[in-house]
Amino acid sequence: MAMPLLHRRDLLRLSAAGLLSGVSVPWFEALARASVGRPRGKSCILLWMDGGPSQQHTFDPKPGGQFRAAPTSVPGIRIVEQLPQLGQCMRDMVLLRSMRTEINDHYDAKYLLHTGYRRAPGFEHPAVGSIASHQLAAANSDMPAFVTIDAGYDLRLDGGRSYRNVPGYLGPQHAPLAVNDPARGLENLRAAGNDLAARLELLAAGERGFSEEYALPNVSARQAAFDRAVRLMRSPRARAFDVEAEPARMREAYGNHRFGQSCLLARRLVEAGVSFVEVFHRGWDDHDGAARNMAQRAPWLDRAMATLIRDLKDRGMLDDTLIVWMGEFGRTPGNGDGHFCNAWSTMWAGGGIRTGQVIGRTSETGRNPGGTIEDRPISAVDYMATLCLALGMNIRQDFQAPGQRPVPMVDHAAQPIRELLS
Amino acid sequence: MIPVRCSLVCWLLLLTIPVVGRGQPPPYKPAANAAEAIKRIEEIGGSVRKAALEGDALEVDLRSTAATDEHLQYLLALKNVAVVRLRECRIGDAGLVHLGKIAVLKKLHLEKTQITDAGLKHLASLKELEVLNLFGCGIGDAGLNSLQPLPKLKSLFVTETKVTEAGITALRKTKPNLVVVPDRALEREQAEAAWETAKKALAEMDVRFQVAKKDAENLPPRVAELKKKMDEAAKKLNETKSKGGDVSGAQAALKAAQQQHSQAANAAKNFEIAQKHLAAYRQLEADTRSRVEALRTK
Repeated sequence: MAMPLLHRRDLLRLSAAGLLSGVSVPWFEALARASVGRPRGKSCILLWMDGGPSQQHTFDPKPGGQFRAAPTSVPGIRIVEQLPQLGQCMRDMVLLRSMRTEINDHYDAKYLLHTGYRRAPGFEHPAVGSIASHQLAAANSDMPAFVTIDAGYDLRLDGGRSYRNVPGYLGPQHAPLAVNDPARGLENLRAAGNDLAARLELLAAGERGFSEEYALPNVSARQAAFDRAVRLMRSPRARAFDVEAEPARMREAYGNHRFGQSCLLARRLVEAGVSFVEVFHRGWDDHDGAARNMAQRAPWLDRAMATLIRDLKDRGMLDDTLIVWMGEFGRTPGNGDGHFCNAWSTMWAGGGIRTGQVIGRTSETGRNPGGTIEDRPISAVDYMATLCLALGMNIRQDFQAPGQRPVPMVDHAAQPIRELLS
Repeated sequence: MIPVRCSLVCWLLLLTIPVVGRGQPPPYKPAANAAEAIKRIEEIGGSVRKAALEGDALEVDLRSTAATDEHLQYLLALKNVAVVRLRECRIGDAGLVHLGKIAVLKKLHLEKTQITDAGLKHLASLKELEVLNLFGCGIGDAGLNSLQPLPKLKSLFVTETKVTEAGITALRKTKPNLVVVPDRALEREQAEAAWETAKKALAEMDVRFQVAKKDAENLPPRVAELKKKMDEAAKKLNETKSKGGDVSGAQAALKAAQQQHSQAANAAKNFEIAQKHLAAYRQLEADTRSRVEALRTK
């Protein structure tokens, strides 16, 4: 790490030594650099359509395609008519239509788009949510920094095995907290019985002896995770996990669908200070053609996402919250029955980036309209670098992997999309 | 000996955490310097961080903590506080007096606090303030009027308050570039446009649905007949081929026959798909319409 954090304990020690007692400027400099920590940056809500959503049936429709294009609130930008409310949010959205990511295999592509690295044997790169937890979360927060929400699946469950978000060498304290059902929130948040204090005391007594004898990173990481769980159990902010606490009209606005309720939960968590929320909805691997399935998904997708954007805006949170909608790749031009990593789309919204525009362009002519990129190809590392920059991270730094091995946070070859960042 | 010592530590820990969590914060004690102020802010459950990677501007976050008006005096011991987040704190007008002294403040979040119209006048001294979030506060048009003196105000959030469209219009007269959320006129315009798109899509889907329905009624009985035609066309193509003549006409005829046959053979399945599509388009139309209706009655 380029910049070691000055912990509160160190601060007290410095203070006791008389270093911090004066009102001189130098210590304030040191304080501003170290003890107050890095900026929060932005929060991120990643809406992951597992299996690979079709770009031509969503954000990059083509003349003569299966779905027709309709105008949006930004003149000249058109998306499919099946997403009418989202089209009217276009001023707060950016379409990235020129993703070119080189991997057509589900799991390897999920790994690549979550980490910015190709999967390699014997080494696990941290997921972007874990990087956000490491880089952006407040050290002393009682809320977890990274939460995943399972929004279930609709038509069927395929698209390869789900990506498991891992913190890798960043340490287990940056692993996600998983919510398995948005309606049930975080289970086990309330302790059984009324003797929790006594039980915790007993446990701590035992643990203390053990951790003194075996002072290993794993032991302290486990203890840290446990302490955080207890803190969360005692925190008033933990109510954020309960969508039932939301007014009925708000729950209805997001739609009576597990994806909509997951979006609502994501908003509540970001509001309570969570840095990164990944909502994943499975079964987008439309090998029998995308049209039929997309038409059925459109109503709940349109409603949930448009409501999420509008709700964040109403609350003054949209500039501080980046929404990213994507899967591991797109689908073949035309009917969308195959995997397609050559030219596909993602949608970003909010986050204080330059919205109301389209980045990149795919072709409109030829046997496979939309099969090639005509402007600004975006590689997986370009995407990852842009995402980390948009969230307010310093991407020019190396992590220390085991064996004193430096690993860049984002591959140095990345070319961030500057026209997106304000 | 060790177990006794750590159980004491444990108890101390358990005693302090619920105190922070349940809303009995440590009482206000003047902070002699920035380090002390940061320590006190953290004791209340808040945090002090850099506002951006570059520069030395700070952000103080006390969201959902038990911070009170008095505690806000800690902020005055810090230099260059650019962002303050006080969402869902027990902060009232007395707290705004302290906030009004942070001359360099750029973003102020006061969502769901107890401030009133009368208190907003204390913010008039914030000459650098760009973003003010009053979501869910009990303020109205009278309070907005006190925001006139803020020269750099760019975004104002007044959703779920008593502020009216008239109040916003009045404030905008002197601040034409100010973005106020909610913007009901824009919301209505966009909701109408979304409804238009959905209506048009439904109408066109309905036409396709009627065609599919007709096909499903008329074509299945003709499957055998069309199959025969297709086989004949295939035979003719083979004959033309063996004679070495021009096959293009026969090929086209076969393709047309195949298409007709497939249309008939799949008519029932296509009708079923069309039914599902129609239901989805109806849902889109209903969703966009109900939003228009809700905004009209607001």
